[in-house]
Amino acid sequence: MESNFVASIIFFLFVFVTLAITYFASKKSNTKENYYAAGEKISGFQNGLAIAGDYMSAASFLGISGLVFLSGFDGLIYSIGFLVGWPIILFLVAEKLKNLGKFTFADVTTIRFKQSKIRALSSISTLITVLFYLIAQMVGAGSLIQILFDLPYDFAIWIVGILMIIYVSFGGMIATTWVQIIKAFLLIFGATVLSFLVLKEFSFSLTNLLDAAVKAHKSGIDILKPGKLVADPISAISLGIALILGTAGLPHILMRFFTVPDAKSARLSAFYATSFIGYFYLLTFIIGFGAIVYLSTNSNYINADGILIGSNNMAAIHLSHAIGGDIFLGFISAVAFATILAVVAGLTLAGASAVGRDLYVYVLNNEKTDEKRELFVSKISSVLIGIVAIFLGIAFEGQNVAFMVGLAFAIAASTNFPVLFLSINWKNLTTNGAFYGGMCGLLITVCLVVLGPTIWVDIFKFDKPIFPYKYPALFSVSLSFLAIFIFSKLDIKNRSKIDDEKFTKMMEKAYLGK
Amino acid sequence: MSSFTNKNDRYIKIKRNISHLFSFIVIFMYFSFILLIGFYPKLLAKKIATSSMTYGVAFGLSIIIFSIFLTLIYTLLSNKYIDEIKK
Repeated sequence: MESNFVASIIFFLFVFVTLAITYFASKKSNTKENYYAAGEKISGFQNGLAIAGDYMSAASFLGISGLVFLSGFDGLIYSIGFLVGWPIILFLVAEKLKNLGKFTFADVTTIRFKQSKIRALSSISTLITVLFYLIAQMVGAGSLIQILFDLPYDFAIWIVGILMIIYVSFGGMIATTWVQIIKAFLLIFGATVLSFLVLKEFSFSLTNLLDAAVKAHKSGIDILKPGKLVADPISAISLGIALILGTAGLPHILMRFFTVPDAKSARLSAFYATSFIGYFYLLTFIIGFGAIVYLSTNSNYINADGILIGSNNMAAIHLSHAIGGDIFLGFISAVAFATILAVVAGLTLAGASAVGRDLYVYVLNNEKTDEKRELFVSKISSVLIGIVAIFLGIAFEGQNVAFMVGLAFAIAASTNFPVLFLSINWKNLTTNGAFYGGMCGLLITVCLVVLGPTIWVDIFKFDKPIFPYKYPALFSVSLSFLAIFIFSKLDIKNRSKIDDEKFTKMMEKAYLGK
Repeated sequence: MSSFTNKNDRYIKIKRNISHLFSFIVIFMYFSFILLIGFYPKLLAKKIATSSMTYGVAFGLSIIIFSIFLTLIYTLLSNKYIDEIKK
């Protein structure tokens, strides 16, 4: 097949270039500054691209365009939710993070508090977030590569896993950042060409495209209206909170703000990231509607039951073939592969930093260790996390893992975000308040997801969920804030230790920099 | 809020007000969209003029474009003007 040939060439080129970068980066990855933060030498524009690369997973490219293909407007609700977290990160988090922290977001949450406790909490929630996110990506990667390249599932998982371990353990943040930048560029370029080819057929008029899609889709005009996906107001609000606050609490995203030299470039990173991600979601919308027009009635892509061959996630892939032929299909497939690889590398680095720095240095060794040993532990952790991800990816083959991304976002929103937000904004927060409150947030989130419809009914096969809503964030985030508040207030013993001056100093540093 | 001993009092105040104002605009815009979907989907289902374009699609796409626009304004304001006040 011609497409397979093209895809393989582009993919091997990608692997070759990224491994070469990793080789050069490995010579520099023997200092903490370079390994965790790329020596703070990434520019705002580069970091914006890298953030976009971290954030635009294969799930958002294939998943959201597939969702638009299936239900039109409802897909737009998701993409908007994924985007609006970004302006909030710029306005409230980005520059303060850069001004206060060094390598991981726990640097910021621990400024006023007892290191070991808060670091323990942050590393646990980071690892859980990273692992769930990783499993979802790995399982998606395996089945996607299976369909695209005709490779066995396990083999695909091993390729992705081994490459990601090499990038992260040898190249650290420098290699990971450049992998993201190249991937983001390829993905945005591919999606732009695909959308251009679609719009060209409709004389570049969005309304013409929508008119044609309404005619082609079996639901007709309903695809341009709010549908069943977000059925009740509570779910809609809850999903919104999870997406906004979850984005602002994802450890691998927060870590990116330490790779730029100053607050100015931190702002620029967030601005470029918002632009690239927003532009990309506009494209997925066009691609999804293009897929409705070109694939809905074409028996080459639709089976006898009217379902897309492969799955709905294949909408963008099939569309690239329908409109651009074999060669373009090959290009888009290779881009999807590269996308998966880059996202898992970013996640693994965030997990490894949480183990090597937060857990090993601050929790287990009370800061009495040297740089060499810390980096060794971080690098070994990246190998271990990679191996765990490979085995879990294989173990979860064929399972419905969509809830795992939701769970990762919910935990980030209900544990990482409240602790981060209150530590830089609320004077009366105490060590115990952040620790026990954050733990409560973590446990509540996991319980609500397990007792909710996605796990209790869909996986455990009970008739009725104990907790009725699919998205717990509205409840888990509020309860987490409440728990942190109560535990801080109860923390009478430590009240005298709360140092007004310390807080004021931190606020000044947050705004003014070092 | 505790008073800052720093001579950068004015900078911090301006900065804080602007980030809160911008955040409020985005959150207000997004949650009006979400609440309309939840409570009043019929409004979003209305067609604009005679085309297939609905108010929902137009509103949704505008949120994306307006979000990008707001981050541009914020970054320009901060990097070019407000940072100048800092000394």
